[in-house]
Parts: sequence; structure tokens; C-alpha cells
Amino acid sequence: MPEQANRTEETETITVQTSRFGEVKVPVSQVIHFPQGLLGFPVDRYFVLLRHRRDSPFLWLQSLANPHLAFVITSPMQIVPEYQVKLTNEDRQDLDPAGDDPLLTYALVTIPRGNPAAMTMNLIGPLVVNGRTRVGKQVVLSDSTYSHRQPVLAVTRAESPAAPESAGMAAPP
Amino acid sequence: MLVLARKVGEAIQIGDGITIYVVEIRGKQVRLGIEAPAHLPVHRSEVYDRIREENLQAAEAPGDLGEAFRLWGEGKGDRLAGAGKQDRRD
Repeated sequence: MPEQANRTEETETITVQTSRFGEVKVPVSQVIHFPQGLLGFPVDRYFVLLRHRRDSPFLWLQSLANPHLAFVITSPMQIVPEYQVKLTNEDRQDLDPAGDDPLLTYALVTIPRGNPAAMTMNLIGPLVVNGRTRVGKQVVLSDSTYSHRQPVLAVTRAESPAAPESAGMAAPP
Repeated sequence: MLVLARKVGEAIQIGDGITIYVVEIRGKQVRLGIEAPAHLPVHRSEVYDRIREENLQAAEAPGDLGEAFRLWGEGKGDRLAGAGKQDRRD
């Protein structure tokens, strides 16, 4: 069962219907508002973060409106430590106009069904979330050299003779 | 699709707030200047399409992350070992 991403003392909760985890109660403060939605999903604007489980690098980004819509996300810096998101002025305006809030960066993880070893994360369309206001945006990194299919297990498998070819190895940058 | 012929310096107006200028034509490449309201993001189509396509695939995630979690755990151990920090606790 997923747990709340952050435990707080708050009592105000909302109940979220999900197709993967059933009914989940989360603090209202955990709701993230994406005013522009995610690319390809313009309708869903409100999501909550659910931790996969303790010690897991994965979080679920679950839509409030659509029980079936949930993304697996992770902190990209765990895999690509030097990863940096360059925000445009417009991004800053949308996310943190005053410039003094903490911004959290997540990458969407694509896990092919039946072949989780080939999982990748999207480094050109990260999700940036204002940790205070809980406003988020999928940032488009137009001119970056990052991949939209960065192998998550690449660092390990590239050096391993037993690496499955299906993992599609790119040399670490 | 509407197709218009334009020369350098000419523009196309879309609705009230969007203007697209032909800035330069060099060989096979056209440089465009785009004026649009801030709430309308402008991106190169291939980048936008790639992210949208990847989002659609990411939304197909299996409900059970057990195997992905296990693989990640193995990778993490190897990464730490590779970095000279032996910190396996399994």
C-alpha cells in the first residue's frame, strides 16, 4: 500500500479514488496543482503524491479526477547527479515569481509492462513543484542534451557483462 | 491546412495575440520570430511531441512496482560500490 509522501499533523484530508490502490486518504496540503496540466493530459490539473513504499525511490503522482491516471516519478538526481533544470523566465513566473521558494524536481518514469529492467526516465520534460505553494509545471527543456528516455539502470548495466541488451545502454554523460 | 507564402520580414497574424515573423532564410533553414501571450508556451514540435508521447507511455505504468523496486535496489548497490562507497545493507 502506498503511504503519504509526508506525514503531517494535519487532520484535513481528502479521499482519492484510485484504480491501483483503491481509496486513499491524503492531507489536503499534499495536493499539487498543475495549472497547465501535463503534456497530453490537459484536463487533469490536480494530483497527489503517494509514496510507493518506505525506502522506495518511486512516488506515484495520482490524478484526483481520474482514478486510472497515475504516473511513477522519481528524483532524477539519484541517477544523474549533475542533472540541472534550466527554467525560463516564464517557468519562474509560473512556479515561483518571488524567487524564494523551494523547488522540487521530479522525472517521470516509464516502466514497460513486463520489462521493468528497461525502465527509463524523461529528463527533457521534468516536473517542477513549488514546495510551499504546491504549484507544479511540466517544464520543457528545448535546448538541453538530456534524453527523454534516460535508462534508469544504465550506470550499473553498462559496466556489467551480464547486461541485458534490451536495457538499451547509453554511456553515462 | 492553410499554406501561406511569406518573405523575410513579413509576418503571419494568428488571432489577436500571436504573430509569427520570418526573420531569416538561410539555405534550408528558416528562422522564425514568435510573439505570443505568456500563457501560451511555444516549443519546437519535436521536443513537445517527444514529451507528450513519453507522458502517454509513462501513464501505462503497472500497478505493482515490486520488480522495478528490486532492480533499482540492485543498481543502487552497484552504483555505490562503483563510486567506492560500499554501503549495501541487504
